[in-house]
Amino acid sequence: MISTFMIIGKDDVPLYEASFFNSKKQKEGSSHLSQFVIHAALDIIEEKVLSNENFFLGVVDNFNNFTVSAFVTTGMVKFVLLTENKNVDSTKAFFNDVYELYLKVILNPFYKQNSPIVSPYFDKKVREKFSK
Amino acid sequence: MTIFGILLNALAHAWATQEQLIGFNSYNFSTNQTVESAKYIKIIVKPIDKMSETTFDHYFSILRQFNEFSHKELDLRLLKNKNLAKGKVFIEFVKSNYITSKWETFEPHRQIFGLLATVDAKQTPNLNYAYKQYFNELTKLKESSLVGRCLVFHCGKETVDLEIGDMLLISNELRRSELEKMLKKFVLNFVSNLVVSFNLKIHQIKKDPKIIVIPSDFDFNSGGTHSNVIKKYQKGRKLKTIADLYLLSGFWDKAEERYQEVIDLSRFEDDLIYQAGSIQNLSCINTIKMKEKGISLYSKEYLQTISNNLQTAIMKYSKKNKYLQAETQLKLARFFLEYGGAKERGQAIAILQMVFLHRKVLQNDDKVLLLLGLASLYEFANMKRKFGFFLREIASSLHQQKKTKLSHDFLLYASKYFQLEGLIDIITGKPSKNYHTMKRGLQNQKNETKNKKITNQQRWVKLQQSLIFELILLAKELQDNLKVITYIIYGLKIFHNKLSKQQQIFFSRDLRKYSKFIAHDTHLNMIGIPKIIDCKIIPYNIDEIPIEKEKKSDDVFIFMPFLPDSGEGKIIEPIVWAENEIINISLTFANPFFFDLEIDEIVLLTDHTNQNSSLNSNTSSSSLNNNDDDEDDDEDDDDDSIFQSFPISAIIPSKSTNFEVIVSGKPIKSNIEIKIINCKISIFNIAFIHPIKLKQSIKVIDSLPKLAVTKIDLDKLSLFNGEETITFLQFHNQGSKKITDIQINKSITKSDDYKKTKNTPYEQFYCSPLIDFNQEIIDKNLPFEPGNQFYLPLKFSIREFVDEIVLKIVYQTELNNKFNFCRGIKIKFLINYRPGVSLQSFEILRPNPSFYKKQFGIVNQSNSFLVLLDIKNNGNTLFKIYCWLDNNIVMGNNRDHKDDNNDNDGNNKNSIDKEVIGENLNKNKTNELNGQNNNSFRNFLISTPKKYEGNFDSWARKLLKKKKKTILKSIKKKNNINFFKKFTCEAQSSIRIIIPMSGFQILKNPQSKIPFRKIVENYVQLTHNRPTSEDEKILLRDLNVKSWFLERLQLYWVSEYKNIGKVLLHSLEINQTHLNLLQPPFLSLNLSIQKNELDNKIILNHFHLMKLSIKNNHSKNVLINFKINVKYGGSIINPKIITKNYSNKENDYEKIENLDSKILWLGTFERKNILINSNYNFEHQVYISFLVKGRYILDVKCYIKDKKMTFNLLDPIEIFV
Repeated sequence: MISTFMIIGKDDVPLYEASFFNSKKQKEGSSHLSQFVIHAALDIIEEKVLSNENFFLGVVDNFNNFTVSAFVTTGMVKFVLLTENKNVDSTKAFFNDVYELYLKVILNPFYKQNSPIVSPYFDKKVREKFSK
Repeated sequence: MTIFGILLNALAHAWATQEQLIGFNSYNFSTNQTVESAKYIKIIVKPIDKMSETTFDHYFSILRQFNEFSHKELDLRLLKNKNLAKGKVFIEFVKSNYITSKWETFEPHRQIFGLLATVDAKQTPNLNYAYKQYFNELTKLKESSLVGRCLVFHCGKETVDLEIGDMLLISNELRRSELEKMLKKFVLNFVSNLVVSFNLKIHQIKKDPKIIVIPSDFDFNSGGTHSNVIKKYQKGRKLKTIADLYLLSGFWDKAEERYQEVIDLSRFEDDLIYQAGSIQNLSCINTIKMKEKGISLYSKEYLQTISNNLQTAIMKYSKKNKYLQAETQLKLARFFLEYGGAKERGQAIAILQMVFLHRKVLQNDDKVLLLLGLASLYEFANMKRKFGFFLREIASSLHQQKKTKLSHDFLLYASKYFQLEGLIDIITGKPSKNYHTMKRGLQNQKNETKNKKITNQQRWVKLQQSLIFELILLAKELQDNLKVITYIIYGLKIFHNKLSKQQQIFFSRDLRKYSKFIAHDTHLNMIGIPKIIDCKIIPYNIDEIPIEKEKKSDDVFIFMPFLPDSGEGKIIEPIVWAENEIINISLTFANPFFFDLEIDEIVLLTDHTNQNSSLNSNTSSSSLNNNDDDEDDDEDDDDDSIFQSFPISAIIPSKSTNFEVIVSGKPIKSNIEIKIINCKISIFNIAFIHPIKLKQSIKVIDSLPKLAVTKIDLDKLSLFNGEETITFLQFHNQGSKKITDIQINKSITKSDDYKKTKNTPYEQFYCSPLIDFNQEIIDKNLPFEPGNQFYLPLKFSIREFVDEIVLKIVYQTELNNKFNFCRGIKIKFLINYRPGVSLQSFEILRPNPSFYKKQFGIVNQSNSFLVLLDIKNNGNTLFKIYCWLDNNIVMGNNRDHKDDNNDNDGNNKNSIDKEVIGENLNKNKTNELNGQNNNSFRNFLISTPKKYEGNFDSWARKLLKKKKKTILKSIKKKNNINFFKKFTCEAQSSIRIIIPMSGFQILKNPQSKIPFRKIVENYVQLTHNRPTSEDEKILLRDLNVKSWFLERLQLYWVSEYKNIGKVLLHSLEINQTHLNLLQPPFLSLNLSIQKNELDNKIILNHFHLMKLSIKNNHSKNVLINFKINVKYGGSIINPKIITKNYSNKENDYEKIENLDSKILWLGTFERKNILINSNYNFEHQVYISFLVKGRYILDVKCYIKDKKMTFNLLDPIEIFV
């Protein structure tokens, strides 16, 4: 399994997905499993968002060595990060950075709500933020 | 002994509702996973021999109602202790397939104590055999206290009264209420027996020295013998088992007492598992009792007690066994979820997440059970995605255990929770064997809409693709070819644009491989494979379109199919099909995949309505009955007798967006309206009905005759003018009806060149080409029977300006068809006209005037010339030529100026009408040339063989001698021309025609736009193209005149063909390069004055030489008078005169005669009767001296005596002295 970041919109529609490979080997064996884990974690996120006022929900789920962290906007757009990194602070910082980028995307008048984010700039920036 | 895993309990409810799910209705997983699970007695219900799943499910659902009995209801007379508590017995019926667990030995409620075998007497009439089967099943279970019964449903009257062992025979005539009553009584009895057997078992356990062993004992001491170690547990374990049996039997007090004892004992014995089990089961009893007493389960105190108990049990288990610990944790979670608030719910989820971590340390069986428990709890907590995730995890674990079938079923079920609901719909959908149902077609459309909605969503592509690939692999392992195909098709449909080329090719290979093994009538939703882009009806050929006749008339010729409005190839609305005639439908497909789609078969499916219209009213049909399913079914039965579709195969290339396939069919019944609604496409051995968006319904009329008319040996006529040919038309009745009427009409298309003949004699003369046939031949062959054929000879003779000849053949059968239709055929003959006459050369000669005098008797014709034409007969037919000149040439008037020449035009037209157009042309008549009196034009036509010997004069003379009389006759008539001349030209030979012309005189036409100069006024001269020394300006003016002249120099030729005796008219086009008719002035005048050599000026009182040259351009000698006029325009010194407006006006000058003081001269200014020969120059010299300064104008006036014509200098000379 590989570290994956996903943005999930209304009705479970995946808006954006970025997989982060640490090595070539990982890339070759890039698995679909991350989507399964993130998809399953959405239930827990929806559960937790009711009892949590913050955008950042922290670690919501785990699978083997991986943890699923979530960040939910007021519009119920879910940022989900599946990673081995258990440092909550860095994850939170990453989410906040991406949230800023996401705001820029939705401010774009040509962006249709709940549609996939295909901006290469956004993708590049997210990857930059993750590598930090 | 068989034991059930308790963790499977919770799934029962989840899957009970999924009865349609293939595979899952075979499985049933125990009771709910709750604290109270220890109270249920499990009874397995098993179908014997051939019992359909539906029947079994029906009876199973009835049995399942009877799940709770009080002791009062039970027959417990056999029990020794008759003082029964107010106990209850709880039953759970489970299906025969289940996942076994080693933990079944631990507690009695995990075991099966009863077997209910069900037999369908319809399927298995041999009850002895059924009984044997039942007995085998019973012995397999090997449970000492097992109670077994066999239920036989659908028994006939004769068998109901029989009594065979444990069998209960149930009549097939029972109503449901009676059946339920009977079954309840049966179950009561069965449960009573069970309770009694439990009682016996308790006694047996008490006496039995056998040590109870559970799997964890082996784990605990895996290295050595366990018996010594666990011997000390014996008392406690036996007591716990007895307590469990009491709990199952409903003796809760007894059970409770014993559990308390077990807790103490096991604490002492350090048997933690049994201790924890007892604590857990005590919670169960507490719950039951509280419920019985009516205490609310939701009280905090109760929650606290139960949760404390369970947590204690968990703690105890954790020291001994992870699986049992996890199991109890799940129970606690379930308890929280069921009865707790938000806080407890959060705790429950935390527990579930924690439990999931335990799976790593568990063995395979336990792992599956744990995952099942987790899945069921997530499902209970309404966390569908988690539920799906764990279903997939279970499938994965089961696959590792080689339980492929079960693994597949779980995975398929999981797909529902990953937005792949359509997959289960396809798998569970029952295939329709009747492909012709409209209902199915509509259903498919609905399904398609539903699928489309999913497809359009942004998908979890990796996840879904992975799931489908996993399903395909499992299906392959199961060798379930149908499922392999189904998954691939589903994957292609929803992921076709996201699958790589390699994946698609892999899919196509599998499709080909596995489709060989599936049944042909397999029904799968194949919409999109291939995609139908468009569907349209290909109309009949233009010759086969049925033409509806007008209702009031029987005349078929009113309804010509070739009306200009309808246009060729245009469909005449509405489309009509004739019975038993092949029609074509064009289907356009798209193949979005990377592999070719090989379609085995395409068949059209139709719906129809009978026409209510009567013959006379001819109104359209009633609407289609699409809504009524029953009627649809009825109609389907008749479909084959209404429309026959001819199957066709096709290969649609990969990535093609617009691939057309023509599918043919044949309406078999008439007087109905057919609508193409679907098409059945068989691809990869799967036939599926694709809806077609073709709203048009087509009227089917009675069969019409079908006539084929073929041209024999002639497709394009390529003939010389006037040639005649005969061709044949083959008439063949290809239909099934006899033809009673054939009518032929012809139309001739003239080329655009024909328009040029407007307002010319040619127009008057033009004759239509001939096409002729004998109607009697047609009539003789009528009625024209099917299969017969005959030939009709057609005679053609070709004319100029004809592009094509069209024969319109309209035919019909007896007027017995309702709509009164007929058909028409259009036979087209393209004409390649080759002119019979062509102009080889054109020349104008000007022989010596004496020649005219001698040969033609024309005297004083100064402007005469001969036009020489070489004409060739290119064709194979002898023809004669009549030649005349358009009299407009002579008149010099343009027909466009009709206002000015009304009289002339009228006269000319009359003369042509009367004398030219008629059969008397060959009489060699002359036509009077009306016109002005001044017209002196005359011409002659002389024909001569092209190859002549000697000089021109000699052959002309010879010829003229022969025809002198005729010619002279015409010449003698004043102002007449020899208008016609007839020549005969042999085939492939040439003739030379000479037209002598003389005395052209064209009057000044004030309305003419052509600029004439005075000097050439009224005269036009034809001459050779020869070098001229004239001033360029003059030449240009002349050219203008020439052009004007040529406009009117048109010759028309009428040829008379010997063999057909008809007169044809041809325009002879004379290329302008042949004619270069310059028109220099009749006389060329030139006056020059010699100036001073030094300063090139005219000097006062000094004699200058003045030269006048006169040139005769005419072909004849002329006698002329001339006079040089000198005019004085005033002194330039005198200021008064200078101030005058200077101009060239006559008034500005004084005549020189009165001004002798102004000039002196030597010589004469005037001479008379000077003869100038043709083409000769005359020169005259005068010395002139100017005495007064001023302006002088020198001009010459020349007068031709014969002609009475006056010429002036073009530009008078102006001199300043």
